Amino acid sequence: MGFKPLLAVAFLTWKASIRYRFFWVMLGLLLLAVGGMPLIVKDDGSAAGMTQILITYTLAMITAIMGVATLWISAGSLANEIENHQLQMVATKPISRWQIWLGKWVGVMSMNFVLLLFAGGVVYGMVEYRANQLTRDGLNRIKDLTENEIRQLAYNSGIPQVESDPKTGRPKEDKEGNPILVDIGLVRNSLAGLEEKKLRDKILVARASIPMINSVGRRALYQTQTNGPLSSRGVPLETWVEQMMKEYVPKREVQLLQMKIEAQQESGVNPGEIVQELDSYEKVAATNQIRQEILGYSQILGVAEGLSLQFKKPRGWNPDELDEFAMRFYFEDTQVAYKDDDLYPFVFGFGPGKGQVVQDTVQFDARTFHEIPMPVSLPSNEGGRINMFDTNSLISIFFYNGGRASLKVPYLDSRGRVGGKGVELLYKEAGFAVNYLRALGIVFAWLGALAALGLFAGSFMSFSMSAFACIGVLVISFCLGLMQDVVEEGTVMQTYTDGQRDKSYVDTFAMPAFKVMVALIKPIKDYSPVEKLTEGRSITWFELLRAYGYIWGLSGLTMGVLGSIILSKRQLAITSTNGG
Amino acid sequence: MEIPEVTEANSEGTTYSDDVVVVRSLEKVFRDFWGRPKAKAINDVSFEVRKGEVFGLLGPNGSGKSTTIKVLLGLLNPTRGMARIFGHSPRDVKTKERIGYLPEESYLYRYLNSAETLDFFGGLFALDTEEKKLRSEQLLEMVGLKGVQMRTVGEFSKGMQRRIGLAQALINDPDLVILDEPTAGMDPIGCREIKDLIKNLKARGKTVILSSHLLADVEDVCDRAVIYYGGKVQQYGTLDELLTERDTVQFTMPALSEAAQKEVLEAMGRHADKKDIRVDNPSQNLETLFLNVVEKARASDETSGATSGSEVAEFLRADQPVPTQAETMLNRLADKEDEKPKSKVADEESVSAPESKVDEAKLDLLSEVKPDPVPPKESPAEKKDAGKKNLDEVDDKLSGLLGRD
Repeated sequence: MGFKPLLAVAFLTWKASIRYRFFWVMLGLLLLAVGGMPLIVKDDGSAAGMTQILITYTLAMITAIMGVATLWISAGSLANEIENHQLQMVATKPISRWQIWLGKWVGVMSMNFVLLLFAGGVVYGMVEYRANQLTRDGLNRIKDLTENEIRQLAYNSGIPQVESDPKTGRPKEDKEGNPILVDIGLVRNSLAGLEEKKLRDKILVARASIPMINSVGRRALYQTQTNGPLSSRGVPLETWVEQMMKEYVPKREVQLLQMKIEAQQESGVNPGEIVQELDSYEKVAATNQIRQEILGYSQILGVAEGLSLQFKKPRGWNPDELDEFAMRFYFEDTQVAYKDDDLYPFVFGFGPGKGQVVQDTVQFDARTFHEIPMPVSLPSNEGGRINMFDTNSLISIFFYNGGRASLKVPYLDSRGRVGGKGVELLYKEAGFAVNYLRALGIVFAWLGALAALGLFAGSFMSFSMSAFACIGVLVISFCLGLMQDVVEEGTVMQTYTDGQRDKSYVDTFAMPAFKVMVALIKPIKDYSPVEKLTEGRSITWFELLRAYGYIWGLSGLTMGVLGSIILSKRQLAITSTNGG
Repeated sequence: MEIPEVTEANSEGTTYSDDVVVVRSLEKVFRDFWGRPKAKAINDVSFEVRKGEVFGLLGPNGSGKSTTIKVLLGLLNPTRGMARIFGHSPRDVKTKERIGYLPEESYLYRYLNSAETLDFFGGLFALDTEEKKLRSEQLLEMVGLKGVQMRTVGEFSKGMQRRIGLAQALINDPDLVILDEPTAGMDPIGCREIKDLIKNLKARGKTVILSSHLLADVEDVCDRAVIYYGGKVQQYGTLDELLTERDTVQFTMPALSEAAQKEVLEAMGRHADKKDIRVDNPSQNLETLFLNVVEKARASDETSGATSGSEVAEFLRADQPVPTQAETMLNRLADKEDEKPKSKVADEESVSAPESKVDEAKLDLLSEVKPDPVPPKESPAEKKDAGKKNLDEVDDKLSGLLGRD
């Protein structure tokens, strides 16, 4: 029999969608949402802001519209056919119930594929049009300028005016020893396309992180003599942590012992029976706790204090010597009197392996992401070029607090592992088009899970009930933040007594339910492509595969298998309408 | 009423004797949401349907006919007992390749037109495109919907929906055809055509289960039948067994003069009580009259609805002197399944042979106008009168079961 019956069912879904005009209405809605509505949405005036809002808004709209429609059509296509007895006709033919279920899913998803491709294509076209428009606008702005004015503007913007040797980076000269100027046409195009280039370098690109490895050094700047050159020294983070622990663990143990004795006294233990020391478990717990605190504290840089971080070039990235990558830097001012416009000096350095070949001082404002372009290689004094990645593909980044305020550079993530948002090295992994397709791929994975959810509900509920249940699940998924809070706090109560959250009997059954829902929904929501896309961050093929593995492999397949089993066991001749 | 024992072919109980359908002690209880029994739709039902016979499920509305059929098709799970089709469970997917089903109501997709409906159901049988197209055309021709094949099923009248429902039930040239109230909503011509079709299927060795509460339907075509009431089988056997009154004899002869009639009556009166002897003229039944009228009108008037169905689809015909192309093909396919290949020469001959129409002679006979209430001398009234009487008797029996006078 093969898959012909399955395809017949899938094709029937198409027919129904077209005959009931669902498909055409969806096309119109999507076109209105992604094509018309962005025209009335305001952006911050910058090209990057405009593009980010455009992508965020349109992808969110596509996901919302198609998500709800997918739930609706999938729940309806099964529940309605059961209620109207049409599925009885199908079930008496040589097709398994699971094939009917899968056929419906394939039908809905093939329609989603076409709709998503259409809406995604419209958005991509709009983004490309707006990006190209930046250069066209730029050309219009400089069309009346003289060659000298253009060269002056280009010079101010950092556009090279002199042709240089691509290998050595040295300026080219003519026979008389004069530098060869870059053709004015190229300069004009470069100047006009400056905005578009920025956009394509930062947003319309797929940049991936060069992974940070667990080799961190705690460093400090010092001067051997007044007004002399700055030197630095450092120790591995582990050594620094151990030194700190030697200082702080005894203090913490004294504090804990004091608290323990007070607690015994308060509980009425006889003075002679009061335990005067911490047991081994309490000591281990105290040591672990203080270790975590010290690790967290390692992100705070006092005056002249710094860190060295190491990154390993991924195997898939093989840049040319003249290529660039970027360092993304973020820090927070730890002072209470923080001002938005305060600038904080940092001394940066970097080099291959554990060495440092370049050092510079830069001022930044806090709580903002900053990007510093970095070369893959630099010309050396002996000729040739020095690659910033050593033979083991390692590069080191050094940075020191050059100001007077203590600053926090969050190089650790929320779980205390290296790879936080403080320092990131980004390289171009792919173009925007590829990244955009991967983002649509993740949206498609979501839709697949929603289609499975709708069909699952339609397998055993009436259409109205299954639609209600699906919308309920959607609403619950929107309350993920609240559920996470409840799970973290261990109670549904929002009131406090003596600084502690109150408890409720509801917690007994609410906590396990919330834990399950958070465990199921959070990973799906974590695979949001929108944020990465608008930041120009790469959604790698591996991430895409992982998203499908989780969203389809776990959520979709679970609902698919359960739905098919329920449908197989169901007595199709008994429906809610005949009361049987 | 005796129910023959099932002969199991093996210990697993998966195959049985030549019986196409075996039902044993079947019981179906419908329950409410809380699992409490709500209604016992069928109760201790047992019967079997033999290969090649037309089997009737007869009974008033709500007597359990459709429930039995739905259990046989795997749409309901029995509460107790068992049902086997071709020796397999009703849920067996492979077995369903051999079954055609017309439900009691049109459960078709209202947004599909006739051709698309047949294409869809053909697709479920994994028929290839050419075969689907060929069979669809023939079936649409057969059920008289060729002219309206682009209209959606939702626009059809009930009768037209029955016709397309019938067509989909035959798209796979099934070995077992289950027809639940096939004539409901059909005009008399449609009813006649369905009966002819059933006879044709039987002639091709197909098995037909016909569920109906219209006694004439069952009587005309069925070999055996069960009579349901209250979810239980009340009577079960061949129609002859069910209908024959052993204590009554009926003579039919050409019209006699008054004197001759008197003479015959006197002779009969010597052997039976005169008050038990009845003499009257047989009359044609309403169905025959209606068929004649419409047959005449059809020749001149047009209709926007379904036309009378054409001859039985080529691939379903049986009584051809020489098989048609489709039939040859189907036979060949069937032979393949049976691993009994026919000779190529014979097939080629079959293809080139001229087609002939099915039941033409019978239809001609039915459409023959009989203005004279007295039957012609050379053609005795055959079974018509007897049939009517038998029908009345079955009606009486059924009324008795229903508790009416």
